[in-house]
Amino acid sequence: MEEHLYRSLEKNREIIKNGFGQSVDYFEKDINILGHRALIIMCEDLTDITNLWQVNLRPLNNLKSDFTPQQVYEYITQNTTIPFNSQAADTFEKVQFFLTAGFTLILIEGVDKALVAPTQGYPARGISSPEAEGSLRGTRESFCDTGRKNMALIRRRIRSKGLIIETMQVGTATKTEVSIYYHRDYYDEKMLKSIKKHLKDINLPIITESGFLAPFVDTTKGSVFSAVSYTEKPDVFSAKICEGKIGIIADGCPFALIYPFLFNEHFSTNDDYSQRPYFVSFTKFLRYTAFVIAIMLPGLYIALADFSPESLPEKLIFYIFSSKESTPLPLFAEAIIIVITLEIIKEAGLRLPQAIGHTVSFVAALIIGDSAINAGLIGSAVLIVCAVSTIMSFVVPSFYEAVTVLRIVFLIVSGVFGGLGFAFCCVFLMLNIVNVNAAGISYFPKITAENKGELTDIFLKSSWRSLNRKKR
Amino acid sequence: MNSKCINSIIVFSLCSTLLDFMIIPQNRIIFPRDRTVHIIISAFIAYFFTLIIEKIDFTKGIQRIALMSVIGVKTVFTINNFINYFSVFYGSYTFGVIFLTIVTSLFGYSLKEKSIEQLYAFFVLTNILMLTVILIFSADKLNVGNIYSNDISILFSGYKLHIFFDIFTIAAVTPTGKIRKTAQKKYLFTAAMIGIAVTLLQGFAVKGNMMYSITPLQAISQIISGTTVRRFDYIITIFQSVNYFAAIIFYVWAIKNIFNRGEKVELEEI
Repeated sequence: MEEHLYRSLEKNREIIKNGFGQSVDYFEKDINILGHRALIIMCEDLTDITNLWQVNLRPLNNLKSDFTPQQVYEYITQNTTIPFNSQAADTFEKVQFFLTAGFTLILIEGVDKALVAPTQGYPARGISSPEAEGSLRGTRESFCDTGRKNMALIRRRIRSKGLIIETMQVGTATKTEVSIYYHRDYYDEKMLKSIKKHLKDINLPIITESGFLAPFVDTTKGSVFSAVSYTEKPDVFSAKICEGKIGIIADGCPFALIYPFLFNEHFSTNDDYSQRPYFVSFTKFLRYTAFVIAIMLPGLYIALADFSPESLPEKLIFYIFSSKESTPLPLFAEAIIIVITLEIIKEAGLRLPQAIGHTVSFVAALIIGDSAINAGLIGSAVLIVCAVSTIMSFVVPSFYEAVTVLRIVFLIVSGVFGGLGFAFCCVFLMLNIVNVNAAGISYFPKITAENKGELTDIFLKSSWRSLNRKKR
Repeated sequence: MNSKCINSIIVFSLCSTLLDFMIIPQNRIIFPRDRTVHIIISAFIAYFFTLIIEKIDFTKGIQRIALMSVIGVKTVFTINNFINYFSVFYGSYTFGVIFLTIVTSLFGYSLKEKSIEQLYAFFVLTNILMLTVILIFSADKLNVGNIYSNDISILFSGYKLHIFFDIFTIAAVTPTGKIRKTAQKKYLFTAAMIGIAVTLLQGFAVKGNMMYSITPLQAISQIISGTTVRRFDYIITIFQSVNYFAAIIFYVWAIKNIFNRGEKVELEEI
């Protein structure tokens, strides 16, 4: 039960002040409004003082009347042009919410509500170019860390009344503002209810980024894939909202969640919609091929080279066997070591400052790539296979985590059971994909008469003109 | 639970098992040995069974047990065939077959209906890929003896087509609701047409007549040597194994779901 504000100014002051303790950014100042005692409170660093003075306080000084406190409050909110927030803070919970959001509150003696002045002026990173999602012709804007600015970016792109934005606070300690976006005409009500319920049930103390919310939105069990995807581009986000998906953005994080995000959508990019259909179909094919190679190549190579070398061309067989003779480890162990080493190098490069990251790449390329082969520690064929597989995994970056895990599973099982193990892993991969819970929608499209066009759309792309005709 | 899918698998297993018995050597007069024909007939019988199966009361214990037995027998046959296949050519892998079969069964047991429907799409795609590999890379090795043989040990036997049509048939009888009838006819027709086309293509290819000589297959088959065909034996075996694991998943799932029949179960808890 939320505690309501009292009519006594002193009592309110005491409770609010105790709530913030010795926090240095808590600011309060006694003032007088139309002959009545009042109190200004705010969090200093979140507030724009100039805005507070010029827009909200100066007009108050010019008012003259002999109203009671309650009449003063009503007169200010209803008969002046001072842009106070339409929603008053009438509980201590709301007071805390508004203060930490950069608002300034004015409490008047004898009134059990606080005036809320929109004076936000907190420091925030501006809108910059997207770093994780490149595109040739798309927008150069990306989300920033401020949730409200992100709202503006979306609203600017979806200017119909269909866009609905709801907010809630999540995280018992951080009280992070989480915004839920959906389009009134296309969203699934059941899905939205389910997501809201899951978010409300979150009992974690700290929510600092959208990634914390993903496991609560997507309840998939027993799969390395997920129906949640991330984007930092407002145009992609807006397009997905208009497709009936639900978007979630946590304040303080420039990445938005999109749910449900289906399997084939990972193989499409924003540029696909501005390029010729035949070229897009070709690049889609490349992406699928790269995805398959990234997961399967090391496992298939080990299954063939270790269990059925006669399947390989003669020259390659001789090469593999001569390599085997000159290296101390079996092929399987070599492959495992290389795959894991490549992941370690990638992990090291990812977290380091850019300048040192380059050094890591050079060291990895020179020492591991060249010296290890020259020293006869590893075979160059295995290294090439593993390196190609790793590079392929970057073609569909959103699948990187799943691909990495599956590649190692393929490698180990194929190394133990050969081709049979490889076949088992293929089925395991399929099971992982079909087990994804995408809010009742098939994560991978089914083959039925009703969705006959769906399978075609996975691999190819229709031109906008033909899609436009279908829409009509 | 929406039981069309279960019905399909039950009926399919029933027909398939029935026909398996009918084409054993002593009964070969009843049906030709050609597996392709067998599967097409199987698919059509499955379709007609599906139309009447809703009238059968599966809640009766005896019928349930009978159905479980049929599917169980089919499962055991499939496992047995596969282990035999591996024992002959890859004797040392038999333990692997058993171990991975058990693991796959556990996966199949835990699957939801939604997932199993999506699996069809995957396996159809896998099998199309398999058939493409077989056709392209073995055009010069196809012959009537192989096509019309029941012997599983022959590389390009009808057994592979059997599995291909298995998958298509299940996909064909799966759809539910208004589109069920048209979808079934459509996929059965597709399956039948592909079967006939493959058989004809192979027949032409074998005799080396005009059609074979003018198709791109000739060029491709000349580019790849005979040894390359041998190499693809292993790749095809891998495809074969994928289908084997798929069959296990379908059967285990069907056995499990016989007892769920008549219950209303949410497909996905979102």
